[in-house]
Amino acid sequence: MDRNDCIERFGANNISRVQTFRINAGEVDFGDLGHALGAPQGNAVICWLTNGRVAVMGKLFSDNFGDPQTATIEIRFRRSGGQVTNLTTRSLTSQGGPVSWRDIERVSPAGDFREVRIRLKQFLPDTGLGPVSSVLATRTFRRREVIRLHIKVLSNPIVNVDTMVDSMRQVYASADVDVELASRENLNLPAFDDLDVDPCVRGLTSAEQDRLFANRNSVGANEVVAYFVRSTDPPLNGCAAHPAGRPGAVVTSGATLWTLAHEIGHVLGLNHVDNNARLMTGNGTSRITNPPPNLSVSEIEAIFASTLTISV
Amino acid sequence: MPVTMQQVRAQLDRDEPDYPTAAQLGPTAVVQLAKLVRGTDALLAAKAAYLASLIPGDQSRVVLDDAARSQQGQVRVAAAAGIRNLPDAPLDLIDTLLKDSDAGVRKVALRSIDTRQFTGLKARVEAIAKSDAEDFVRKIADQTAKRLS
Repeated sequence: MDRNDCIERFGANNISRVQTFRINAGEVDFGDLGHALGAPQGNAVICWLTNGRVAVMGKLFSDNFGDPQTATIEIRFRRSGGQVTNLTTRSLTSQGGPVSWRDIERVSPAGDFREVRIRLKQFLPDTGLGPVSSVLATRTFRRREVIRLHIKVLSNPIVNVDTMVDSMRQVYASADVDVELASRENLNLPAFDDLDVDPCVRGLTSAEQDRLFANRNSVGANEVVAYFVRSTDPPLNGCAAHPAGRPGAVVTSGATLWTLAHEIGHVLGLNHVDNNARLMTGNGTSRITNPPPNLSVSEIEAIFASTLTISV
Repeated sequence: MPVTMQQVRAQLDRDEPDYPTAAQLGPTAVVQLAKLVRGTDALLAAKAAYLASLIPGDQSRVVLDDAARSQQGQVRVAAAAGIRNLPDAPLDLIDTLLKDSDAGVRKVALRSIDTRQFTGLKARVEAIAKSDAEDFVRKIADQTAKRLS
């Protein structure tokens, strides 16, 4: 399923956002046909509608070849005010053998809905020890996730700031996260233009970093600041170490197209990987092989889990 | 086996180089670092200068001398940072950096002097504390002078 299914069902003019996904939870899956190698091969879809409603469409799979079971999907919608709808539960009982499935479509009532939670459960029959119920997966989807980014420029980098922000948007869009440029300010702070960042380790900051990061004019608590400086001591493209409660990073004048996105990735909790197809490569963002670089599923989950990713 | 430029770039192309690990490339990397310091990529030149400072040997001092004469301010800043890593940083190199026209270079040179507690520089640093054109440099010089013997 994809955007076309949302359009067919609700009309093109009524769609504000579409999220495709599949959940491979072992013996209970959610997605779309086909189903092979124990996993759905097609995507389910969430249609976010312009009138505030939201719909979930896909196929629930019962995938327990050996034993009878009941596969269950629970869907709950959350309004902008935080109130949740009653749980919708749909089940599919199979007796073992080939994969079976049923269509799922759940549309929210009228209202301004911001979040969908989907939970997959498995019920195994009583074999003498009592019935077994297990939650196999829980996924939460939001209408819009935003990182609010503030730019504070001490020195302009060689790669234009706007270009770096656009590049960051491209990467984070793959995770359905918007990057909102919340403010931009020039800072005349020559004392910090060649910033002491030694040792640039998470949780450790120099006195200079502490003083620079105190500049949070117009910045909210869960918002991120990128400070553009000429250089760091020692020389780095950027450094994401920041004082507690003042999330942000420094980016230096020789930074690459992807350094800003990379450093903010660190601020969001991501670590280096040894893979030049990914944003968080530890080999240098100048070596990225497939622009825009990738975020892995676990990285996307970490971004969603960060308090700096704001659900709106 | 001499260290190749490819090996050096593998360390320095990183957004956040691990300098102690990179320094393990050893003295034969310094030839490549010297080339990078004279190159047009200022960030790479700055990284190369700083890495050279962590590799013991006379040639590293030559690389830092080159970096201290760079047209690029951030490369001279890296030289100023690197002098704290040299076992016997020459006073003429330190003096060159303290007299640099760029306030950022002077600030980082003072920080290196403070970190290493270089001797024989107290009077020079006190003079900077009194007369430097930039307030933030004067303040750092004043703090440094008080800690120097």
